[in-house]
Amino acid sequence: MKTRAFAISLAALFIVAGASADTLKLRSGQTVEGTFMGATTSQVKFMGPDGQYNVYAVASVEGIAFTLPPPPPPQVPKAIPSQVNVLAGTPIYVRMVDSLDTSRTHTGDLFTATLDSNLVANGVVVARKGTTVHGKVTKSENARRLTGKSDLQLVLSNIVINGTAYPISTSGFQQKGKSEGAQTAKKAAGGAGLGAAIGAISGDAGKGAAIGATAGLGLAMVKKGEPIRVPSETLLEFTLSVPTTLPVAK
Amino acid sequence: MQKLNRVNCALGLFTLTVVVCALPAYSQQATANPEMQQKVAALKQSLAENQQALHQYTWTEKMETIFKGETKSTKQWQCKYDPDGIVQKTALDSPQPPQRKRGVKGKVIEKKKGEMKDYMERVASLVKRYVPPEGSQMQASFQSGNGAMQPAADGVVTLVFHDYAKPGDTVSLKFDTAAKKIQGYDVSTYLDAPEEVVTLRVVFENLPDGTNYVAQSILDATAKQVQIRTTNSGYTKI
Repeated sequence: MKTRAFAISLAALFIVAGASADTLKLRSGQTVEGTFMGATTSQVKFMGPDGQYNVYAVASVEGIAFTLPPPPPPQVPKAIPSQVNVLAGTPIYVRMVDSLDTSRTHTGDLFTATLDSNLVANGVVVARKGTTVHGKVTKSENARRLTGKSDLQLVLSNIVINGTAYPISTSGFQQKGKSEGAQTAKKAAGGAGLGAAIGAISGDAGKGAAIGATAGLGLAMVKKGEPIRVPSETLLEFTLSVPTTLPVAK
Repeated sequence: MQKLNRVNCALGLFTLTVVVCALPAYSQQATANPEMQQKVAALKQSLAENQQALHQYTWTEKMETIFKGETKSTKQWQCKYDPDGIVQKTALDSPQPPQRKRGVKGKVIEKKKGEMKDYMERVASLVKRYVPPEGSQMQASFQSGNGAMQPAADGVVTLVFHDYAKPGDTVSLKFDTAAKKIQGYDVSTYLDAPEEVVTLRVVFENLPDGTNYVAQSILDATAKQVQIRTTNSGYTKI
């Protein structure tokens, strides 16, 4: 019996009818239009066009022809918005193109960097890795003999998307000289406070790798009285401080 | 050096990407010329076929690190493409335990090594700005008047881009439009200051069946007198 039911099911699978409903074909030659509702090893349950359920013995059933289910509606490609709101707090990882040095860099100087990873908001890639960003030196103080501390503060000021520079506002990257250097670096490593200093190094610079590589490299090793250097290709993290609507890169 | 290795992997995919990426700039000139458009399309097709042909090979990659003219290390890998088109490398050398000197001298050496590693990782990061080349950057360079196409009589076209990734840098790409083969890719750039010159020279050669491949790449960090020379050889069909 089981074999028979299986055979029916199998036959049903292979019969494709062009009709608008399932068709139950009985051994007596009779055909019934309706909807196949299920089957057991002994019975086939079928709903007729009048909505009534009828049960047929498997032995009396020759086969069942199923109507192909209507094709699914064509998938409309998910529309990519032309603009996306990037939330405050979004980290922005950049790799420096220019190099900065408190002995030469002045407050107000501009610098260029590129995104080190895609800038993503709402699942949309707003700007791809390599996109140019510009920043500004908000404070550059070189160590003097008595104070013995250098101080360098940076923010990002705009991002170039589709050839146009869009203003952005970020929390600042800050690095201080020896007396506060170690602590600054530790905070940075934990991602605390202002923009974290992320060491120059390694990998394809995913966030984890970047943070893992942080302190102790280059930036944190500032001795008392020495200038702070942010060499070219250093990886820095900034955080968007104001929600910003940006166009999506083409 | 892992990062440099990644750069070399990128060079492995170079044959296709370099010109396909460069083609937008080339095709910009071609838009007005249907014949040139056809050439560009044929070139793309040829490069795609070339890349596919490379997947049938296994080869040996040798990377030499040269410091102040002296070879400091040599590493070798057996390479092949995996089904995803990524170069898989198997080290052919057994790893040697690091030799450490004790005392003050040892510390000085370790510090110097650390500084050099840091520097070379920055160099590798810099090189990644150029490998593989970005069509959009080439186009931008072209549009801002910093790009030039120098066709030669023998069908070899040289595309030269200035200010490609940094002010004052130069990227040049040479390919033979008749044979549809890349001949070379050169980068001249710098790290922190223009004096800290970093150059990359990639030389292409052909296998007996005509498949084009990266035969050698030479990365030169002149300020530190470090050269990374990578040679691909021993191509055999899998």
